[in-house]
Amino acid sequence: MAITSDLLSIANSGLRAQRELLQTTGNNIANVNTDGYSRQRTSHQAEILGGVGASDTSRIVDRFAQTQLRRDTTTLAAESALNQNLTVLDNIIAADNNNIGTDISRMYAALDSAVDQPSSIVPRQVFMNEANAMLDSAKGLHEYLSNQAKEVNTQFLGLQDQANDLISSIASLNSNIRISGGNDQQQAKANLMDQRDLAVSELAKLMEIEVRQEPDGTSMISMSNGHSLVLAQGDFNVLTTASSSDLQRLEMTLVKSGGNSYQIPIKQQSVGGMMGSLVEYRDNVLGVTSRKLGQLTLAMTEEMNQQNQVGMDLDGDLGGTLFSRQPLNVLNNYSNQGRNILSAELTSGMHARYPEADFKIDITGVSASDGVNPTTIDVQITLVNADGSHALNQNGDPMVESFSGLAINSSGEVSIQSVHGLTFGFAASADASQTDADLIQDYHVGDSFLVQPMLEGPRLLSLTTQRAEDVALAMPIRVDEGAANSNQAQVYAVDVTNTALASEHNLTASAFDASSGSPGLVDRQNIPAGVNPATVVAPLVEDPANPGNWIDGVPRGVVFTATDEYHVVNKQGQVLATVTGSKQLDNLLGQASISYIHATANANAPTNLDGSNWAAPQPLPQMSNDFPGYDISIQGNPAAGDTFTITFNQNGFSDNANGLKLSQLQQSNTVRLGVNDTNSQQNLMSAQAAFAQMVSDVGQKTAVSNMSLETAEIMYQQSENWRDSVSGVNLDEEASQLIKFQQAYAASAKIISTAQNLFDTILGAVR
Amino acid sequence: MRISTNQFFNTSMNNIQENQQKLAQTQEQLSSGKKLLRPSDNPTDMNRAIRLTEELASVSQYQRNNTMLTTALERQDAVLQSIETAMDSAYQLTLQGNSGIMTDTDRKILAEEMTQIREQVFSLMNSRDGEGNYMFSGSDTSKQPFIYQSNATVNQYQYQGNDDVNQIRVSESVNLQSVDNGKQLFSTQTAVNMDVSAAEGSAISKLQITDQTTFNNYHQANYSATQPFQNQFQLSVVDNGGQDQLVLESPPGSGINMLPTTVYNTTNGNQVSVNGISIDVEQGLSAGNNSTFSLQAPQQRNILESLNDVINLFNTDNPDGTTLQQGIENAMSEMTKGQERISIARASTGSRLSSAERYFDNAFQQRITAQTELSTIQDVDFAAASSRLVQQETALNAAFASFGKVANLSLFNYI
Repeated sequence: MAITSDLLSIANSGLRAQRELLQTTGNNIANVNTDGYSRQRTSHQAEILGGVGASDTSRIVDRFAQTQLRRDTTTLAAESALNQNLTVLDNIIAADNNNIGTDISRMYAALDSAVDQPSSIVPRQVFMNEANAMLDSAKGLHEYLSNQAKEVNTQFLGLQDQANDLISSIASLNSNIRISGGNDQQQAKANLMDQRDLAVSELAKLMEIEVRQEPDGTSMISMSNGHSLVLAQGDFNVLTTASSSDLQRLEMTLVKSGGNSYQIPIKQQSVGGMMGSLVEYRDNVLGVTSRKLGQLTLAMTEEMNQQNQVGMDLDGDLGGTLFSRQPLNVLNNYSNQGRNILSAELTSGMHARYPEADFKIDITGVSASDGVNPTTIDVQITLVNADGSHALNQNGDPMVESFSGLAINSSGEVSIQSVHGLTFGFAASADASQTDADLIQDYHVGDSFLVQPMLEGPRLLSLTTQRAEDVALAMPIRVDEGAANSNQAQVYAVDVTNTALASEHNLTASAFDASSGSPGLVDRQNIPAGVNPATVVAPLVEDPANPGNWIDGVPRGVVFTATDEYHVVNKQGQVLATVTGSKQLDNLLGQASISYIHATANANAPTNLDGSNWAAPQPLPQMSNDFPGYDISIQGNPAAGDTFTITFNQNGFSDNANGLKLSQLQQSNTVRLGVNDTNSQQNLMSAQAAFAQMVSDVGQKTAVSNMSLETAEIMYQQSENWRDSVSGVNLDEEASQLIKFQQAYAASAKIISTAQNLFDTILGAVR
Repeated sequence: MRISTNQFFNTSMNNIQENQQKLAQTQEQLSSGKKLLRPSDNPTDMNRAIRLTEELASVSQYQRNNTMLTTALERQDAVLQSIETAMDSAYQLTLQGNSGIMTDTDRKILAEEMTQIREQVFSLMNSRDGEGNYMFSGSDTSKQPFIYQSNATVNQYQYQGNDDVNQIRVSESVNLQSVDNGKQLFSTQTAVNMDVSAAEGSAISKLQITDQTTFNNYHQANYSATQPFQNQFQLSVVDNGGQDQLVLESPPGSGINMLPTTVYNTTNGNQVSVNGISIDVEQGLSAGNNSTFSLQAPQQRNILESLNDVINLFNTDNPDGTTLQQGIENAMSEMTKGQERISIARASTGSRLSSAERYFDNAFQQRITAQTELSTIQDVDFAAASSRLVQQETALNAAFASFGKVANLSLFNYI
């Protein structure tokens, strides 16, 4: 006879089953506000021989909903971290105290006032103060940006610690999930899995991850670039970072926990999530903005320096620089083998070529000295973006410049001139013979250096002088019209392009001279006391009237012999050149295309300085292309005999001609706009336009981020809804379940009393 | 769809937060009066706003420059006007002195009056601006432009400034010239002469200019600054068929006799005149004797010199009638030239003043345009923003109200 369960045991199993159901419902109600809790359901099966069987409690989870939610969590966390930072910057960058555009306007307004009253000291002082204020604002903003970058790095390290903690706790939860599984532990397992999933979603906020569910309920986690974080058997990897040669960047590696069995370098940008968004903020927002700021301040101040240097200040001296610059930092790669061999400087006058990018300098080849020829090196200079990627030119090719066979000198630095507005100097050999093998120790193939001129930016700048007199508002030369001039022609432009004074008496730079104590034009008749006339080197021109003889070559005037014909003459009135048929009387000295040479030291020095012709020096050393450094233009119809004499602008304190040129720099296009290294106006913008562009660039990025954040929020809400609608607890539902199970429990209890009644009935019948 | 309890709360809270955010934004715009509060509000407009602010600052500065320029030019005009008036009366007095009925004493009284005028003009020509700088000494404004040098032989009133003139920026691309320098204003190119001292040989006893106007015209037409040889004259006695004859050539050796055929008078010498030049030829010359002289380079003289010449003439006791008349006429022609120069300068000052005014108005227009555009870009439309505020307030109220109603619904309330 088959064994059948009796009514009592059926009732018993019913009571147990209803209690279990009530327990699950109670658990659901209790956990309605628990983060990451998924509602649970207990199901039973009917026993074949009657009664209800063992229970099975499980989470109600839609894996697709969970995956979707995790992805959206990552996106939302990344977007909101980026947005949070951007919003702060967005508010700060256009704030009045950071508005460098306004400061630039104020500086130029003050300059204009000084130009209106060139001999008054007060407006000049105001200009100096405004220039200082402009520098202070730029420095303030720059400091804020670089502090933000440091702050971001600290935050990144914090998040990395948090991620490592989460990774290790997921690994240990996995282990617990694997060993729990018995019937009595079903609910515990479900709760463990909830906790694990919560940790995974926390990790997903920090970084972009992929999750693979194993049949035993554990989850394997890997980074989006494929590197594993949580492995089977409770193993896991953690992230570590170390500082790199670039001060603003960090080197990140993935290592196995508890041992250094392997190290995998990880690109910071590839992490994703909040960590990735911090890196993006640092590189693409802070990095780009501070480089733009640096570029515009460096280019603008250099341009003003150039103009001030061709003027004359209120002391009657040739103008100097207004802003001085510290030398650039050269960052040695930490794996370099050589010593500090590289120096870098912004090239003066090349402000229109300063790029936004960083410079990476690699030593690509070293050929050792053979004892006769010096050591030579090959160098490659690459332009690098703020995020470390290669800057690309208009054709999409990386901007790389290669130099080969650079011979290392023993006497001084060897320089590479003006690569995108930078000049690089390679240290000299320590050994004068140039053949020393030690030199090889200094230069190593594979050594690399990083120069970040624009990132350093305003930090490098300070006012050269506080003296208001040093603003060079006057022109250093003046043109006087001859007393007998017809007055039918006037000078309308005087241009000074170069006032550089070369080393003592070596007047290869310009016709300006300071050797006699006070500045003036080179005057061979005015030899300073204590100087042997035979050693004075001076610019010479071959006498057109007497070929083979050489005369004083400093042009000091123009004498017209007809409306379209003139002589360029020196101080003694000797003709240096004659121009005939001149259609336009612009740049009279330039039109003459005079070949200036200079007598060099000793052997070629002229012996006779009394005004007669000098012996021809051999060979003929040319003066600089820019000699004499000035030119004049005339309008009208000059009559024969009209003379225009060029003199040093002695006592021209109220002259403002150079000041006007300084003031016009406000509109001058000076900041390099794009990657194209052309000097064309289309590729340049004014400093204030550059500032406006910098601000609107941050605005643009914030606006885009605002939109992305909104999208991410909506996406997140939708997937959260999806997950909640599957896994979330609904109290009303639980309430109805409660009643339902309670009734079933009462019914099961009724079965017992019924069984008792039946039993009593039988007993009664027998009695 | 199944709704979980949390989902309901989350959704409600999200909606309320979103409404609050919008409301806060509108409130911020209303309280600050600006809709462009941060670059992200409208990056393009922000860029434009920065450029416009810059333009406004520049334009205001151009206007300040302009005011400065106008003041300087008005000051110059006032000075020039005073000089003009003074020169007018000097001219009248000179004309008065030209009269034949004047006695030495009368002329000396006139001279006294003209000395006053000369001092007045001298002081006006050395005017200073509000800063205490000399107005007319070019860029060397600390130096007195005109000084009197009693020991100078030719020009006793000398200009010591330089040829510089300053420009003032009145718009992005236009600079206007500020005050002129003293050389431009007060120097005239007149006073041409014969270089008597350079006369070589002894054929000439006296060389003088008797008709300055004719001579000036000749000088202007024939003087060469570059070829000094062209300016030379040679007077020689030549034998023309047994008869000594005077020949005047310029340049020497040109073969063209500038004189009509004049027979040389050995006993008395001759007096010949040509182109306003009068030459007294020595007596007792013979064929082959000659003398050379040349045209002097033109001199720049200022109006003070002309006044001074007249004063000196009027102060001379018993002057030679011809010399007096000639001197007065020369001085009057110089004074007229000087006055012309000043009139031209005043006209140019006036035209610069009116240019300045035009640029001021332009700048004003530019400022208004920029301000209007800036306001359009960054100022909030209060009507629109206020109505938006009400709308958002209503939405938030509705969200609150509905939350309260729905949150009270629970099955637990019924069991």
